[in-house]
Amino acid sequence: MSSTNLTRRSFVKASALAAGAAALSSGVATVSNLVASDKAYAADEVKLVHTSCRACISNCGVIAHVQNGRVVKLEGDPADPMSEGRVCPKGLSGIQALYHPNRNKYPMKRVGDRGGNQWERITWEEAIDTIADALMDMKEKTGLEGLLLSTGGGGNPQFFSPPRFRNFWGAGNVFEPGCAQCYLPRSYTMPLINGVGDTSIADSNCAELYNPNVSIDTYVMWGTGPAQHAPSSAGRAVVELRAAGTQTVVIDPRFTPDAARADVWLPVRPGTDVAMMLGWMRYLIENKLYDKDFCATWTNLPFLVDPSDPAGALLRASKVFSDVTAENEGYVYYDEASGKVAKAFALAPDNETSYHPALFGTFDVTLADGSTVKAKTAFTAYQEQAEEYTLEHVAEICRVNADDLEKAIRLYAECESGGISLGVATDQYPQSAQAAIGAAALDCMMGYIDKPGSPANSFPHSAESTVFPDGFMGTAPYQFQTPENITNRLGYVEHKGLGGWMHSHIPTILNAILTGEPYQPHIWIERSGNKMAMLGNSASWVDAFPKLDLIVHMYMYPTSFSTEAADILLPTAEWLETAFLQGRLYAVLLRQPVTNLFECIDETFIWSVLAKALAERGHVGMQKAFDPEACGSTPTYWNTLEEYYEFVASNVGMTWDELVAKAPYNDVEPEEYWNAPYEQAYKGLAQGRDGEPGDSAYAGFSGCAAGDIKDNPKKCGPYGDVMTYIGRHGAEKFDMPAASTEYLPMPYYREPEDIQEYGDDYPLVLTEGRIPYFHHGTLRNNPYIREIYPAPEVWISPEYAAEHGISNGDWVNVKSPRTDGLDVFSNLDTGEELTAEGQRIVADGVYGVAHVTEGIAKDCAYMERFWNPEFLEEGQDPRKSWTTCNMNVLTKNTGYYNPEFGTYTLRGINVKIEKAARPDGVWYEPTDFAPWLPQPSENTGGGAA
Amino acid sequence: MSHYAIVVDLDRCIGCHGCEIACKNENEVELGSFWNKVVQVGPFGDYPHLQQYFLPVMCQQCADSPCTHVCPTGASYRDENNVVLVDKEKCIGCKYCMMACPYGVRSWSPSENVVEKCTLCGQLTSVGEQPKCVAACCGSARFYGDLDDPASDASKALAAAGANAVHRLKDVGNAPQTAYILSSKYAAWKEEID
Repeated sequence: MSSTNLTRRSFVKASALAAGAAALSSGVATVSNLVASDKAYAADEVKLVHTSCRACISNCGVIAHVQNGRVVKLEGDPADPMSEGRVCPKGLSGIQALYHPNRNKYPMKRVGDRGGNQWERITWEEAIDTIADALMDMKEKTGLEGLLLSTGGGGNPQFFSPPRFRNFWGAGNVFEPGCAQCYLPRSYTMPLINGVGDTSIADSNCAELYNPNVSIDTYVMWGTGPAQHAPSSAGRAVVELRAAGTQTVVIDPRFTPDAARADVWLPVRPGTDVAMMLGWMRYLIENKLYDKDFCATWTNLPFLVDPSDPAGALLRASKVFSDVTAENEGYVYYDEASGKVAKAFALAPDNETSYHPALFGTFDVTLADGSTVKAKTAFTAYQEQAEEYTLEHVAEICRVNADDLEKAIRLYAECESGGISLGVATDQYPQSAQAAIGAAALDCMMGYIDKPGSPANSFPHSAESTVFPDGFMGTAPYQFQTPENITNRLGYVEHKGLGGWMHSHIPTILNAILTGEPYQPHIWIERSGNKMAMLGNSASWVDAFPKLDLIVHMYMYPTSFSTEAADILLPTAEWLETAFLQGRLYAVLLRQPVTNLFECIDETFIWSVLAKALAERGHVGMQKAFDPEACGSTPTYWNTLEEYYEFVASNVGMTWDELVAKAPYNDVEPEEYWNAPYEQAYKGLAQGRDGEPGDSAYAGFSGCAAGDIKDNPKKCGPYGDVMTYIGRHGAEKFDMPAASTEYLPMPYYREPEDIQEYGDDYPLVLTEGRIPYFHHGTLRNNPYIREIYPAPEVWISPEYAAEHGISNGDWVNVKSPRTDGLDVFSNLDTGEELTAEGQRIVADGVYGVAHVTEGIAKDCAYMERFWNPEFLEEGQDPRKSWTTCNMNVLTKNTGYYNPEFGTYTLRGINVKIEKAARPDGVWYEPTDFAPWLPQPSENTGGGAA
Repeated sequence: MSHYAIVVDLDRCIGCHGCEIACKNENEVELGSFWNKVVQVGPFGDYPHLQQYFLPVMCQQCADSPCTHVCPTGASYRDENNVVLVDKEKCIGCKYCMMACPYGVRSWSPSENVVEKCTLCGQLTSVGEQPKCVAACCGSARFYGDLDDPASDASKALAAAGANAVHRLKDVGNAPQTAYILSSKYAAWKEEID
């Protein structure tokens, strides 16, 4: 080795070995084969900081080793009861992410045209003044509603920052590519059905899976792959379950690592999950495998359906009994003991023996007006709904083996403890609400609710420092928004489930930008990784950018969105630079800034800085946003970053310094946490207010009744009457106009549009799905990650590969009706094509590397989202960063959106795949990624210092 | 005499590749090199009744190690615990050891012109810590220790698995010590891998 090529690496090693030789006792350090141990330095030089990862939504505990102000090593923190000290590839990549040479370091403004990727450094003051002046100018000229905000996965310490800012501003729209296509449908719908909560293992629910005191017989992972999305917490937990003897069923088009360890793998055809759910229901009913006592006593399945209601809402007691009015409205059931129709009531120790509801049947009901109708029970309605979904029929629709299907249902139904975790898969196509109802209703039918070993359980969450927007957890004394402002959110009247996160409907926003109807968005502030890689049919957005007056992008790195759209770039902080209080079962972790680089600022505080600038310019709402009296229980904005840190700590009643000294810690001790009363959650007597003795009724499930039911029978609601009510009235504090399409109370199967319209020419049904290296758009610029996964794998079957002359490892080209100009985003009112020009940019289709495997059905394919940051390097064509390997130019934001959430189609689209050559300019060889190796820099205190 | 090695429970390995990155971070392994690589085996069988496992491959700590035999300078050697190591100061970069290794687990360092390999993270184990791939492993699938010591994590994992579930990479006379646990209920062990 010559001295001239003494690299940083070898220099570090040489010096470390000199220092380490004395410290190592075994003698191995006397030869040159080991790297430096940080323990080999004097121990007091390495500071261990307990923090919490945010490389994905799992938030695992991590210990950062900090030496001379720099993060030198990351390891798992055993204080986290969910990860137990484990850490995954994403978390392990935190240092390369933090010190990435391409960090956005300073605020920048665009020089030249959009797309040119030329930027000029500006001050924070200039950036904020420019945005604030533009906003005030827009407010004066066109009003408040031109504000458009967006967020997304990756680097988001505070998910609710955008709706919070919009609410203080007073009007406008917020979206993220996930939302209706990711988690909102489950998180909104499932608690309304099962009365407990969603069962998303990826979103750190399903605490029961971590419970050391219970054994779980059968765990159904439906459209979720914990080993892939969260190896260190959820994936780890499922490994332990299997080792302890839990039988698993995995429903996934892909043969995932969890599928490879499952007792039954059902490779469902993408887009057909609800047909399978109806098949499970039919089988449970036909074979009387449901939990009869739970269904009769604790669900709304015995309640009678109103035969005259167009959507099949439950019969209201006021229609039957003349003494029932709007003030004591309720549901009705047929009592088998008395032979009469009766009004349902909340059970209590002194009345439960008088409740004998018929679960099935159709009964004559004499209405208050004297007429008689025939009304069936909700369970009978379900029986009819599921009637056509025999095992054979489901096997045909879903392309699964009928024997495997039956085995899976029996594993699920014939066990003492278990249940379903519903993953993101079904959120990603327009059966999102239907699948959420279906999965939750199945668990209700089986009584797998608040039971030992059931994913649907009501364990408490430890404190977190989420900043909720006004109106989310209580309304501020000052009225920041009018009911009109709220109703005017784009697509909200039609898709009222979006209100769950205070978001708007993405295609309706795109339509508004392109047409100006019903009003024109003018200023867009976006905070996330790469909208061009995450939005469905993302090429359809290119035509939208010129319609915006100002586009601001805040993120840790430039992305395709920066170059395509942005006028101003704001540098945000990596997770190792931010603060957040994170509950993990019974433990409380503190994400804390380990360093702060360049002029980067925690995204959470950037909104505060902008709010302050608007307040100074006379925006009354933003002035009130700093006023504790006006905000009431809604958190105010902060004048300094330190004030934000104090807000974080205030969530557990501490000062920041106290919290830093104490965290991580257990909020309650594990024994106490796991000693949950299970059925007592609903069978226990309701607690009275303010320490008064409780009333005499059981707690029950009070959250599942429709808004007009004042005499709440407190049942969980597998028959989603509440959904129908929300479609007609909304869930705001005021009555909203009805949606034009009813929200139906039961799941129904609707075949994906692509397969109907384009199935002949595009023979493969494409799904996407998580891999352990990325969270949404993140880490494609991370050298060690890209070395492992340099290009998107395209999974195809050996049959398809042979027919098309494709070998494993070949590059392939993928096209869909969107890339080929057949399916163009069109005016939602007139049907006129709007984005043909933008979609023509991707007419060549996209590219990936063939993975020929038995692990995908012969008429299906799999490709995960991808983009190529290498094209943002000097001298490259930045547009290629999102047009080359990006499966989201194939996906579908056109056609049918489901009524509840307006979900569009990311999975279950049709494509064709052919052999191709590797596209020019794609980095693929390991050493290609060398320019992205970390370049550590000093703690500057960041841009807020 | 000790035989230190890693035992991997493939029943528990979920193929996250975290061990690869943990290893590279800890040992500053260059782009293009891996001291530990996860190989996917399968799926095989009749669709949809398939089997698959992930096989992390690193130095197999052979009892009769060809790499040390062929090394002309003694740079490749086994230490007193039978850990196979490379003394980079003695390595002349002839790469004989890379050719001799039946498993291809030795890496070339272009920046230092020497051969590198898994060291079982001696810098960590010498101060009482686990090798980084073991500490980070999401599935708790990796066990480090002295195979001659029944009380070591590695020995206990093997004992708990039972002899029928314990496998080693193909032995061509080199007696690999690194062991893999794979239950037949999950997948059949493949002697030959493509």
